[in-house]
Amino acid sequence: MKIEVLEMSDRFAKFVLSDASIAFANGLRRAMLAEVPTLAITEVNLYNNTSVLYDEQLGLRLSLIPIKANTDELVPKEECMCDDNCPACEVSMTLSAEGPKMVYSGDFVSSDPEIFPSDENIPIVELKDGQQLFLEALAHVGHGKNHSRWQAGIACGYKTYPVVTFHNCDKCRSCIEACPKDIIQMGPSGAEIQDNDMLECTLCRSCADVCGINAITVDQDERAFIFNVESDGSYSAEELIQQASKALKKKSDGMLEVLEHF
Amino acid sequence: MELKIIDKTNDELSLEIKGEDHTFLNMLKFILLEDDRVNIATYDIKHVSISDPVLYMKTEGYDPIEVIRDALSNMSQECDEFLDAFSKTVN
Repeated sequence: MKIEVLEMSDRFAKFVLSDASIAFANGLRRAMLAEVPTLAITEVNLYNNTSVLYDEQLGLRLSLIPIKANTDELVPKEECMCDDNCPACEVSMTLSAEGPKMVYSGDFVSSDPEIFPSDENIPIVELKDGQQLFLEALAHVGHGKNHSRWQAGIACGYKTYPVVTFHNCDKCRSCIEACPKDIIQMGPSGAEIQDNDMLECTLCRSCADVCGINAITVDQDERAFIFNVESDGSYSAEELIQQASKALKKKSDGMLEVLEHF
Repeated sequence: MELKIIDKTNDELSLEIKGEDHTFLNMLKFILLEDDRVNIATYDIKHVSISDPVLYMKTEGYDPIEVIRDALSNMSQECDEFLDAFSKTVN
């Protein structure tokens, strides 16, 4: 398995995974979306809400705020040894505001300084003069497969690596004009695509369709994948990818352990 | 992970895997099919939201549980390989 990172920022990553099976690539993609443990607000104790939003509406908005946390130190509530709640499975955050003001996710006061909303500027509700909001939000660990509030990967996808080859090109330039991505260039021996530009190819086959002499073959390398990974901020893109493969490993190790007793 | 054997003979196995979905089953199936000892490996999820997947496999006379164990170690190894390669390129 080989990995070449093309782009890596806090919330976005682009990399080429080669020499891997399509099942692994798809498993990794699905794991990033649905299997990575994240923290999200699941319960709200409302002490005062005189804002224009119903309690339930407010609850939904709060639940969808991404929270940055080290989930290795927390356990999902159903796996926790405690009876109801404890610091190992639950994080409490309080929010207190009085109008006139816009309430933002950054107004939360967390009981754990390491755990806080990943963005401070998510608007929750606008309070008019005299309106009040006072609540305690309880966050628990969960997985994206159960509810989108726990989905750490936002836009995670891959495509197979394009392989476009030119044979005996007659330099008619029609493919250069047909390419919607403008990646085909005229080289000394005919039309060609630079290695870097090949990543842009969408396998639309427009070039092969306009070629009068069938000199172009559009194919794909089914053992290589171009991944685009975007995180909601609860993890950095790098952590998200690592967490996804750890989640997959946890599954296979878990089943192996159960099979020992068969 | 909770497993339930629905049917088992010397070379056949139907196994219900509770709480899992395509993420895990498709990877497992793919690895099983790469094994020469395996004749058939497939899975079925009867209903998308209320059923657990059932893995069905048939081997060339080998113990199916043994074959699955090998496939699972391969899968763990694949994940380790990925993590290793990824950590190396990022740092």
